[in-house]
Amino acid sequence: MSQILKDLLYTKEHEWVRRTSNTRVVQVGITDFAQSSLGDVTYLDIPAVGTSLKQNQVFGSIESVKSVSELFAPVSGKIVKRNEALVNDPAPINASPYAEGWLVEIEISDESELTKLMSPESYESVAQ
Amino acid sequence: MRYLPLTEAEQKRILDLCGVKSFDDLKAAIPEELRIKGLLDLPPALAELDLVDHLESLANKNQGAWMQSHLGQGVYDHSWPAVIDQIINRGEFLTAYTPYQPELSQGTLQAIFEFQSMVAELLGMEVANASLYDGATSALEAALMAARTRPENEQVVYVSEGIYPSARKVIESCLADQGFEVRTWKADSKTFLSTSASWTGAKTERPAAFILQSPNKWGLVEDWNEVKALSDQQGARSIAYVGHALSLALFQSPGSVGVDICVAEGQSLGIPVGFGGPHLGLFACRKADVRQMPGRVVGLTEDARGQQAFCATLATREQHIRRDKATSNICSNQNLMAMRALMYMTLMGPTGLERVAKDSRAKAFYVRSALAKRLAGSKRELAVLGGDLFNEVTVLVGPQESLWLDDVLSRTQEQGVLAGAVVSVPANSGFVKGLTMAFTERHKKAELDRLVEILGA
Amino acid sequence: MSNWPLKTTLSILQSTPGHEGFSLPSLDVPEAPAPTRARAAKPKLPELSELSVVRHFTRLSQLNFSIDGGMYPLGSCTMKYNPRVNELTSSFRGFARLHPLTPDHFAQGALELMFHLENLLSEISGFARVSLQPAAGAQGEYLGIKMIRACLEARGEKRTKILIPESAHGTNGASASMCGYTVLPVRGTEAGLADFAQIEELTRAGDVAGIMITNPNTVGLFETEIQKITQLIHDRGGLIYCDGANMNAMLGVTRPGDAGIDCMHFNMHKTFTTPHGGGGPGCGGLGVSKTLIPFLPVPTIEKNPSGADDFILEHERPQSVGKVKDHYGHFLMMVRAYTYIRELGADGIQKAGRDAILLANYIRERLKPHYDIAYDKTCMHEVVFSDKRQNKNGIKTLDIAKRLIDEGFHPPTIYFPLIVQGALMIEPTETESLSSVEKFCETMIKVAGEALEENAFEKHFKDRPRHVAFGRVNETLAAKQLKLTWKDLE
Repeated sequence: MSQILKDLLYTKEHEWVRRTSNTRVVQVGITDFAQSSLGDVTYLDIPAVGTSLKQNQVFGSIESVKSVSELFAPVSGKIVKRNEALVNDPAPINASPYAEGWLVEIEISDESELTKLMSPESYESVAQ
Repeated sequence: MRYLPLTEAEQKRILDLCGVKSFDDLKAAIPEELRIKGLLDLPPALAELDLVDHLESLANKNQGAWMQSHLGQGVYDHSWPAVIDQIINRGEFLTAYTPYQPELSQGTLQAIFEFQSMVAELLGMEVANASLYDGATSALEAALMAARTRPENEQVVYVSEGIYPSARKVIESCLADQGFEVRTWKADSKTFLSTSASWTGAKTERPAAFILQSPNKWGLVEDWNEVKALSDQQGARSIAYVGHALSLALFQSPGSVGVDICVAEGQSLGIPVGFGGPHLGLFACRKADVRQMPGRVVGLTEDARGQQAFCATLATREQHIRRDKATSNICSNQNLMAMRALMYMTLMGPTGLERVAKDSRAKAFYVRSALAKRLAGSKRELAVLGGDLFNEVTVLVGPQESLWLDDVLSRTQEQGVLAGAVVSVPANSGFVKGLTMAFTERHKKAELDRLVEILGA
Repeated sequence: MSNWPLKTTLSILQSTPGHEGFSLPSLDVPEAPAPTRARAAKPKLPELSELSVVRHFTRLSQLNFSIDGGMYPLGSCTMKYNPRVNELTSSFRGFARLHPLTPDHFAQGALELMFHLENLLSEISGFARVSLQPAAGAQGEYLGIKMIRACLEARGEKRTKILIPESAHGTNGASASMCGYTVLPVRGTEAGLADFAQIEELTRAGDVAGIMITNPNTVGLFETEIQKITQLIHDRGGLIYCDGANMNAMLGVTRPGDAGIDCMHFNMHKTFTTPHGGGGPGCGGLGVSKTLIPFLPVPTIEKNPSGADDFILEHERPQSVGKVKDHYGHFLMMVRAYTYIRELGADGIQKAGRDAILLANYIRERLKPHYDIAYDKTCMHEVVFSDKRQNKNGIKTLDIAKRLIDEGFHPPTIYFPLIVQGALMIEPTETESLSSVEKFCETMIKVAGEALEENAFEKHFKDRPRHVAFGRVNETLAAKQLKLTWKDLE
């Protein structure tokens, strides 16, 4: 039974979104279900700080030994922070997908997009 | 039939187990009109003695394999130690499958790792893959990789004028599908070398890549610094295409001058000429670009017991995982040929490779000097192409001398000699064609003298 | 743990300065002048005596599983025996030392062999003509799509999409992309076949170049509606490519060319026994319908219209797609395939297809009670199971695969096709005896039994393989540390 945190929002691409203390910035990562399906993550490809994103656009990929998954922007905006530590050692993505395994922080350009994301209850039915 | 052991009794047993009366019942899913009635119209089976006789008679019709051949253009009739044919035919090498289950394939995997290491060393690069089909398709893949790593550049690839015509055709045919244009990086009409100075493009151009082949189709050794300088100048990626892998035993490697991607035709490393295939494509690049590199690659690791082990890695670039987003559609490598090249390089070592390279080159220089002397006195519009060469010599043919060329080709053939390949030459060189002749350590002095004699007559 | 089979360290670590494994005659002409831009230093390659090299490679070979050593029940790979007479014929001087640029007159034997091989393959597959140029199956696919594209462009059509079933091999999508097409996936039906209704819907707009279909498909079933599909695609102005990986099921049974297919690649290293060699070379080939003949790559082999020679190479073909491979293809592999087909003859070819299908159905019947079968129907030359049953007790396909190794079998194909979760695809091939296939089934049944026990993973499936020279190889570490040459050992 994979873990789903109650205070986050989710996408059907198995990503989570967390609001930060800065109301215009959200933190993004992949869910416990995603990391467990992928297996041991071996490589992370995310764009540079400053890159603009559109909701649902592919903005990077996560690789494991046997598969590669694309990352889809859950919201539109600009990348303001990357988890640099993961580039050298992506292991925290498996060990701690909701905490140390966060991927990027995005400064959102359109608040209303957050309403299109899934609640923990809706996500639960997707993460089987 | 020796490869088809299932007996009639056994066939019946299987049909009974399946609960059907005849084999026809197992074909239920195949529409009646698509089922073959009776036997195919194929010749009857041949017993081994007759089979071998038949193949031998076909082989014996290929007189070219017994003639004194100076054909080259990327394919060279070098020799190799007899022991290679013995070891490569071990069933564990010949009949092993792709190393998808590493615990069962450490022989293949360690060998590929050694091959990658030696190729990287020879080419002067950081990493190499487990091989691609041949030099031409490797050059094509290099161009595609260059374009992937420079998505903002124009969809144009420059190819040096001295590239083998058949390789150029492969590159053009395949790049066109992805919307690329192939342009010629013209060679200097005096030196027959492609340099920054001889390039006729505009300073504003930003092609994806420049490909320089050396030795070129006229046998001359190009300067890798030129492709690096021109590529840097135009913001493109530099690709070195080594037309003859053995040349790197003597000449500066592309990696040593900082070329981005290096490919080569590796057939000269212990692989038969074989009427064109299978041969061996070598591919090497920087570690930083390794995720864009096509083809299989093997990496070092450990097993559960802590032993050093090897496995295929970075499979996520390949077709079986990325499917339509793969770096290439390639599935196989030329493994058996890579093993031959590995065994060849291991047996020859640095000293042996240098010897073969030096001896082949010495034969070429010997013929060139002798021909130059012969042609010096003659009034013919013929000249011998000067400059540093590896193992091929070009005689340049002027506009008045086409008949001479045809005549020389028939006279040599009549005397059991295949003189060489007819090649095009740069415009404004004053000549219309070239005859390029290849030499290897197999050729004896007497054969070289004979060639010079017939040509000089 | 045993020391046998003996291992061997990397050859560079065994190097001794001054050792050599070659024997060259002295130079009989003067030395050449020193190279301009000479290599700075000799390449750092090992220096070993011939015996050291022989031991090194002999020991490496002994670490490999091979067809000569045991059965590979790998679905989709057709791991049949590689006849040794093929190695003899392909080593004849007349083939091995013939240069590709040899004038046609002096290469008549090679041209004749290729011409005959093309005809044999045409007869076997029902296509109008064959090109032997592609280096391997993937190149054959690429050539097929390239020719389809050229054909449509010649008609003035600019279609950018192509249909590919979700069950297809990964190369299909990659090849289509390389030709500039966008892939539209096609679902399979509940019965495991291509969904005709969806194909009909997707092609209605008339902007689809065609379909890349595999028949028999990747779950081992013959696409009964194949003619309906080819008819529809043709009616809507498209063309059909067929992945010929499963040709072994069709030998002497049915011909893809008769079903309306426009082009199909051959995997000579599967169906026609050219050796796998640890991963290649392959040997491709492409059969084409009359429609696609003008677009064949150059050169083609033709009967000589006049003059003494029987055969010529034709380099000028105005609508040709050009070249996908240098020279003519993998000629020395063609010699092997030709030798095999001539040995088998009409009778042998028919028996090969028949026996392959019989043995696969034998496996289906024996294993059905023990493994969840993906599609419970008569299969062709391969059959697909899944780990559904075993998974309930925590045992997965990967565990079953690694368990088999200790029993002396190479595992079947795992996790392909993607449409079957936890797939186990089994193809025995006709060169296996019934007793060897029986042993395989008995082993699979034993493993299925183990998987049902309490604590099954701990007892039977943990840390496999245990009895071969190497334990489970750490693929994650390989990807993380990325050490790809021996320079990385320092």
